[in-house]
Amino acid sequence: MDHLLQYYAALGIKAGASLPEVKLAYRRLVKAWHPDLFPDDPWRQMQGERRMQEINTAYQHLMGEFPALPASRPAGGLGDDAYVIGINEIDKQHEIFLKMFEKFRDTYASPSIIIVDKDVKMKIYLYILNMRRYVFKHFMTEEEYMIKYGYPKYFEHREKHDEFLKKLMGLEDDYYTDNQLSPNNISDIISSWIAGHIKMMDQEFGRYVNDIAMV
Amino acid sequence: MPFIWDKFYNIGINEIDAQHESFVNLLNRVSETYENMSNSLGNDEVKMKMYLDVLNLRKYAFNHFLTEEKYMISSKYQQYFEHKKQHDAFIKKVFELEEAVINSQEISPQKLINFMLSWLEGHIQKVDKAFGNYYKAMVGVKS
Repeated sequence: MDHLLQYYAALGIKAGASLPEVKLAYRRLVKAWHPDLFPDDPWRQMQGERRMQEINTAYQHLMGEFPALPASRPAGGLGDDAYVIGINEIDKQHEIFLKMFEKFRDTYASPSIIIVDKDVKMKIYLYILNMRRYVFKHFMTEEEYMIKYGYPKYFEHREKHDEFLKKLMGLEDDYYTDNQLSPNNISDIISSWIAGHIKMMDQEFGRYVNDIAMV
Repeated sequence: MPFIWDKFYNIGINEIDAQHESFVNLLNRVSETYENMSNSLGNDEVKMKMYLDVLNLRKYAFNHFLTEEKYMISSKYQQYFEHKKQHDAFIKKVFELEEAVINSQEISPQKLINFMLSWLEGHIQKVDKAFGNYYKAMVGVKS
């Protein structure tokens, strides 16, 4: 427990702080101490490295104190029925995409990371491009099913797909040109979109197909 | 009158050149649709064909542009972003065409053909060519 108090102190917050408070404190400290922020000042860089070590250790331990956090899925999970629409090929693609997205979020989209390194930024950018590629491929599959089954809401549904693709292209651009947009923001936007879309529109389509198959 | 793929169009990166060739094939198919539809404008069958062509264009655009963009990034192409902007504008235009085909009574394949033609001339033959030259110089691909 002593250690725990020490960790709170390292982040400059009171013991028992809430999850958002911990995240916020961590984010602020990283912005102040990250060694990459002082490329021309070796002494501060060294100081920054030491501070970052303390901060990271404290953060990791404190995060471990929130075990109930359902952090790994965009609300619910793959085991969550809300994500299973009952068309095998589509469900499989959803699963692959969700895994891809989770990897993105867990690797790059910690609320605290500031990407200063250009190569890392490029890597993240490429990852976003790849997600867009997969999303597109997946939309084509869904739309083929819709045409095949004469889905009456095809156009409406497809419009949503196009909207999302446009949004992804916009995010790519913003991420490329603007340092304010973090992978964390992107991750939040994608996460809420897919959760809403799969649970509502895709489910509706799944029910339609399964009703037809029953007849 | 079909457009024949000519080596002149090649930018010197095999994967990209093959995809460009498929673009020209698509263009040919669209013009064929147009030539065969005689006077029956507004015909549902033609409309459906047009729609499928636009869908194919959309599919082409997404796959192909991402391929090109990867080459650009991996070779640290300075004009990457300007180039990508043109790709995105193309995709948005395709979205618009889809809407137009779905919503309007009047179908104008000529509009689609002109759009594709100007892309072939203005983008593939100029902007892509410029990238090909850069890439070859950078990576040392034999042409």
